[in-house]
Amino acid sequence: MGGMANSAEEPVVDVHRESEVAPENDLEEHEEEDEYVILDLEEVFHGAALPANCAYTLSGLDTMNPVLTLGDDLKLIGEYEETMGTVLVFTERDEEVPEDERIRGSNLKETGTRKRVSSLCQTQRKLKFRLMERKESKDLSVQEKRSRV
Amino acid sequence: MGLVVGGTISGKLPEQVAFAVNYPGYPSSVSRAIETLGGEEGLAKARSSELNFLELKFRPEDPYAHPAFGELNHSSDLVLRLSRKPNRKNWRRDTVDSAISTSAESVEDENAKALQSTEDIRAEIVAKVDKTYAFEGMTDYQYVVAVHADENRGHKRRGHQQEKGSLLDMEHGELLMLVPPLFSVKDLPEDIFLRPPGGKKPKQGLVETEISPEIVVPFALDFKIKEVPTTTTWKQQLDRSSDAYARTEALVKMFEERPVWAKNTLNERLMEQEIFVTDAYLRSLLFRISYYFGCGPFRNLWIKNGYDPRVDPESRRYQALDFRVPAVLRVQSSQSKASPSWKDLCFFKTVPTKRFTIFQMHDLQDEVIQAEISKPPERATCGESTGWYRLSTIQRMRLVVRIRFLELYSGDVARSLENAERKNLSRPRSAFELEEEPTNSVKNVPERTCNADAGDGIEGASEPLQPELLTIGGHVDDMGEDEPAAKIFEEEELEDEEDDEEDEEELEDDEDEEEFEEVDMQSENEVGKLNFGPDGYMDPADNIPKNYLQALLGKFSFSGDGVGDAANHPPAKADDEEYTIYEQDEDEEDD
Repeated sequence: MGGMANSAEEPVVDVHRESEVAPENDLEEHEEEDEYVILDLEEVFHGAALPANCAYTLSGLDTMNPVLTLGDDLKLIGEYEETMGTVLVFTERDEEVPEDERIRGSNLKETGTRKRVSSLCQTQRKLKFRLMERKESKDLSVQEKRSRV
Repeated sequence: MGLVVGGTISGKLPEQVAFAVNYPGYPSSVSRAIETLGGEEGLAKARSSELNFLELKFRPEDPYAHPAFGELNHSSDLVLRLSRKPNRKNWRRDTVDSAISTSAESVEDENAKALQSTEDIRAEIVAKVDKTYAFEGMTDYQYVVAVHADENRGHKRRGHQQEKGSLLDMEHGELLMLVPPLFSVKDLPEDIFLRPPGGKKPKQGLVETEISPEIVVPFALDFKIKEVPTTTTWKQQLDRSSDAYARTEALVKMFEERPVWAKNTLNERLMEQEIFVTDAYLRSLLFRISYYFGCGPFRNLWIKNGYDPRVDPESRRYQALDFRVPAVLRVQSSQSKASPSWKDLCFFKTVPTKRFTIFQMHDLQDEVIQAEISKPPERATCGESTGWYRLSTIQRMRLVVRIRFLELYSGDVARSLENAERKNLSRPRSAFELEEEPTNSVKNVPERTCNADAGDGIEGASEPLQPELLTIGGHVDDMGEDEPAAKIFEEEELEDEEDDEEDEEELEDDEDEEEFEEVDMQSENEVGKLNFGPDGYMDPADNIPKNYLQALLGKFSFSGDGVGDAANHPPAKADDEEYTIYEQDEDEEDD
């Protein structure tokens, strides 16, 4: 992962800062460090819901083609892509509408809740996954063995 | 957050569900991006509503900003969070470790080691993205001048203060920024598959023959037209192997035989050659090589391109002669079911079913007519109403045709009509001559005017007191009393006529050409046969110049005994007389 490798030097700077700034800023810095990648499984699931509570293994994060294993045997191989524009990700949760706002609120549902949207992240990086062919998975396992040896 | 070990993490897919917006741009910050999407409130609203799209205004401050629309799609994405965190505890030791390992390993591995050793890299799939708003539309569609955008920002602020803008608002340059009522019919780009050029070419022959500029306008020509069509390029227009070519060739041969034809005769000749064509098709063929006049002595006859019958006295034998079935006989006429063959009509073997028929003199098998057309031309020029003949001759010929057809009808009515016509025919030729226009000059004066003049001449002597009145109706018939039966029928006819005229269009179910002929007949009727139709009754009066009538009225007032008399009696009397005289004139004109 090129981005990560480039920023290998940064901790040095961090150290400097850490010594100078107040500890509250540590959190902020921590936030800034976060990077998000969209794992695009469109080609595999075609918009269908992903299995819930499913175990996954994401390997090869230090390579250009990480492998995502879902469950036991669904192996997907990914490829980095730049997005067109920016992907903004929001989480939403239903929120109880306070009693006094209920009457005039136009966006209320019968349940008396409304959506509360908060930004999760923005990213311009995407990992597009596709089903891994058997041959690829063999090659990969050979590589892994070699690297371990 | 799972720690990445050897580039691998594992865990369980999260419960957290998120939605994504594929924002069509690179916003300066997330907060700005959210602003353009309507703020968090706007987003929440869009999410709450049933709408499945999201509005994006690139200039949320500009009330005129044209939004782009993001459509909601299902997606199966995950969000992976990667975070680096300096490992404070192990930092020094790690660096030392990495320094040691540098010597042994490749640069890449060293980097990886350094990465691992200097900080914790944690990774986690934090959310499932099950819905995505995608902006597939034409996002950058609105052209905005930066100055305007800036100005509008100011306006909006003002607008907030003034609530809904008054006209004053408009003066502050807002008019410069008129928003088009519709931005684009299509918001989404579409693939357009154009047909490759020249893929479907229509058959060449068809196009060239159908829309050839060589073909003259397929309408009747005016008789006064300066030059007749001369086009003879049908051979180039037609495919040599086509049916049309062969048929046109046959027609051309016939036109060499004689330059003017009745279409029915042509059709009959074609049938003799076992060429069967529909009437419309025959017309289309004829238009390539011939033309026809809509009026005049050759009306509705097809004339060879390049031949002008108006300058060739030989054409007199090809003039048209019409026959109109008397109204009282029409029922009989229409009872015969099968339409008679043209040949039988020309030989006077059967009666026409159409009310009007235009024959060609040359075709009519009658001694009198054939003798008449063989005589030397009676006039030096070809007039529009009677062609190369004098009016009297035309009228005689028409009488002959009329009698020949009347003979074929059965019943007393037909007999009395026939007898009346025979008497007319037996009148001395001088009677016709008298009606003739004074000179044979080619002035295009309708005959009815001439009649009036002639009548004036005759009746002037017998009714000296009111000569002008008489001219209105024409002259007194010398034998009006002799033919009561005929007269009655004529009157009936007159009464029927109006109804008939009305019925005509409704009843006429024949092809349009016939209607066309009828119209012609109408005018012909005015010209030659004053006896038929209300037009015959009306026209002479209509035709008299206004000042003439005034002069006439002036005479009344002078000729009367007293002013009161002149004012009351004579006009009443005049009306009576006019009618009576007209009736009598009727019979005579009937010739």
